Amino acid sequence: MGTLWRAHDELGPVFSLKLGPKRMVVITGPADAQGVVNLPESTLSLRSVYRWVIPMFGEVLQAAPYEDYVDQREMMLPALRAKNLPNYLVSMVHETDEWLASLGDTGVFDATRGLERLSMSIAVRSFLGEDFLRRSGDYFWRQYVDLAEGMEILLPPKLPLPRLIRRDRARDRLFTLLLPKTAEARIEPDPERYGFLAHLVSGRYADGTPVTDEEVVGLILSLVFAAYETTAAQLAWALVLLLQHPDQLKQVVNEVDDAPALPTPGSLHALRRLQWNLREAERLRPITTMLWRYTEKAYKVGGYSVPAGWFTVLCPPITHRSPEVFDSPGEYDPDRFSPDRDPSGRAAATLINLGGGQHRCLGARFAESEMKVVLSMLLRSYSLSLVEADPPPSKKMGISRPASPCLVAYQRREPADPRVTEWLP
Amino acid sequence: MNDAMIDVEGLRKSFGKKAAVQDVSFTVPGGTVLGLLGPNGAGKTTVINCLSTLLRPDAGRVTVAGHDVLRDPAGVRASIALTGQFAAVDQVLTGRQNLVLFGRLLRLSRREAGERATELLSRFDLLEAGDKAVKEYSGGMRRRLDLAAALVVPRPVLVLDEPTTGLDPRSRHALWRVVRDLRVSGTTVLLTTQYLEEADRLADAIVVIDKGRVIATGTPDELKDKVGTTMCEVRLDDDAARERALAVLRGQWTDATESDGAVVVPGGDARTLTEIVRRLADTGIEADNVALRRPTLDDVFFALTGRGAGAPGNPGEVARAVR
Repeated sequence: MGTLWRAHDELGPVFSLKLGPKRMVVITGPADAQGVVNLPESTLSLRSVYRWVIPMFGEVLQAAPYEDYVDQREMMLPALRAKNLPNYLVSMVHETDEWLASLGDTGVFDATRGLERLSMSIAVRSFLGEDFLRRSGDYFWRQYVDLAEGMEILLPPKLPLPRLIRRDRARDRLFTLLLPKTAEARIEPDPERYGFLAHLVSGRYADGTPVTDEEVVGLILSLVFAAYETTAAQLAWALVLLLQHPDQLKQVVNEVDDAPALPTPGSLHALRRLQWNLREAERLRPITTMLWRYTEKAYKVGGYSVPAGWFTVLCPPITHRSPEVFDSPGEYDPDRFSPDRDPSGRAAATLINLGGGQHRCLGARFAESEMKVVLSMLLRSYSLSLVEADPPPSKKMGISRPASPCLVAYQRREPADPRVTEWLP
Repeated sequence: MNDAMIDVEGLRKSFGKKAAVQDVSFTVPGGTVLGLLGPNGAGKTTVINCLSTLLRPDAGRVTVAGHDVLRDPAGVRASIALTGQFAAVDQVLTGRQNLVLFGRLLRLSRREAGERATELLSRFDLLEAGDKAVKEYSGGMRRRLDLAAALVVPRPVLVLDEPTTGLDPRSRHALWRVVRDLRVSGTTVLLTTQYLEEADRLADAIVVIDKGRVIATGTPDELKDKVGTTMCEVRLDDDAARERALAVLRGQWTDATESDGAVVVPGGDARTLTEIVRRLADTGIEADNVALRRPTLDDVFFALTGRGAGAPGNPGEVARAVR
């Protein structure tokens, strides 16, 4: 990131860099970035920059031929419709409740790892069903960690490194675990029992061909990948930033205290201040630091012509601090997203951390609901503080997240807010 | 179920230096309805918040279904259904979707949650509206759905904080019917209200609080007996005439009062009534209506506090709202 910032400062909002034998153009200006995000697939393609997912999930989604990718996105839509949100809310609330119960009255948790585990449970339960989570959740998690650790963008996929060997073994085990589950879900596609999986098995391509079991498993594994680490990391940054800003924290705590304990889509939507804080966390600490595309056809941007064969790279952390759109861009100021200060919604529209155009993140609403459920339940239960005032980002490859352990001290609030299960007879 | 389901003894709660509730005691036997009656700011909501563990009492002992609010708050919470407090109905979802969602969040299985939703919709006369989005509901339907949401998981104690405030008479009557049904099925109900008629219609017993203290307890009839079994009421819509009438009648009945467009003389019988009419006629005052009636709780409140049960200093407001 340091190199990119320096280049941006010296060269302006469009610049090119050498990447070994390849060249890339980096676009940081908000308007140019928006324009580029909306270019058609025939100009900027995803497939060739997503080859790295094939050893993990097979040739699905971004790694699939473009027409298949579009159809597979289409297959996900039924599961992500607003009317299914209440079902996912149930998973989010119950898993968060269980995590909170495990914390007890006082102690310290690792925001990075703790929220990753929680987010994984929510993802697995939502995508594969509660039954699967209870029976196979721990095994799935262990295998999945090996799979995710095997993410490799630069090296050849078959290199016999221990990490990559573990990845391949984990992938085979996960397919062995999930293929029979997929067959079961085909017989009885009950979303309550099998979650997302039940929606996916009935997916068809535009020509009428049904999606195969292998593709379904690949899609589910990619969804888990897209859902758990990203949401957990964004949530961890949001929590860190809130705890660093007591004035905002206090207002958010008041807001969640006034909200009903059992969330509904509407009550989550009403958490406006929390929403601005989440947006501000996405702005200052976007977990996607670079969005990659392959230039299939030359195009013009910011007065330059980008030749075919170059990589095109967008850089959310830089674009999100553009002084053209954001006053005092380095400051944490969630109110900049309030309707009073951003009546046209321009500030929110400038954020590109969730991609955009035809590749915009399909799970954005799901993730936002999850972040709101987890944060509101956490803040209702505990007073929290950072053990280290300024947790550094992780140096690991992939998304941006606080380095583990990112310790948060907690103390049950008095009078304690009842946990959801405590309302039960 | 005749043991006390709610037992409050010497409850005190202050906010800063201001005492919101002082030395409040009452008992609610199982399967009965207690009306907690008082004007705005009397301390009703503070009592309810202490009872449902949302506030810690400063002193006193409070138990609900045998659970102490301080020693076993989880037990208390598991015994109480409280409207709007922990489950607020979602406008965008249908009535049924709301009830199923709350049931699922409270860990009923999907089948159980569905059955429970149907049962509640039917009990609260919402079966037909069940598949409509809540934003299309009337105020009364909304209030009934709120109540249904609070009862998704059955509980022995139901706490209703001003359940009919702002409702039209028809909706108010529909909600009263629901509360009576719940009582018949064994639920213990604690109800706060500013409406005297509401307490009169629903409650087996009434606790009147004012400025954080209990000023009277008893059945509705016992309370009414405190101001006598009958009252003579002289309706006079003209303000000046009413004032003159009050002065005239106080000459003979010193406890005569003015209340909501009428002069009221506590006690008395048909002869008193005749006497009143004659006295007024002698001074040339013509009453719009003269009647012998049973005292209302409004009269009781008036007798106890010297003002109406509505906003302090605004006597009669509530009585009008009720009529």
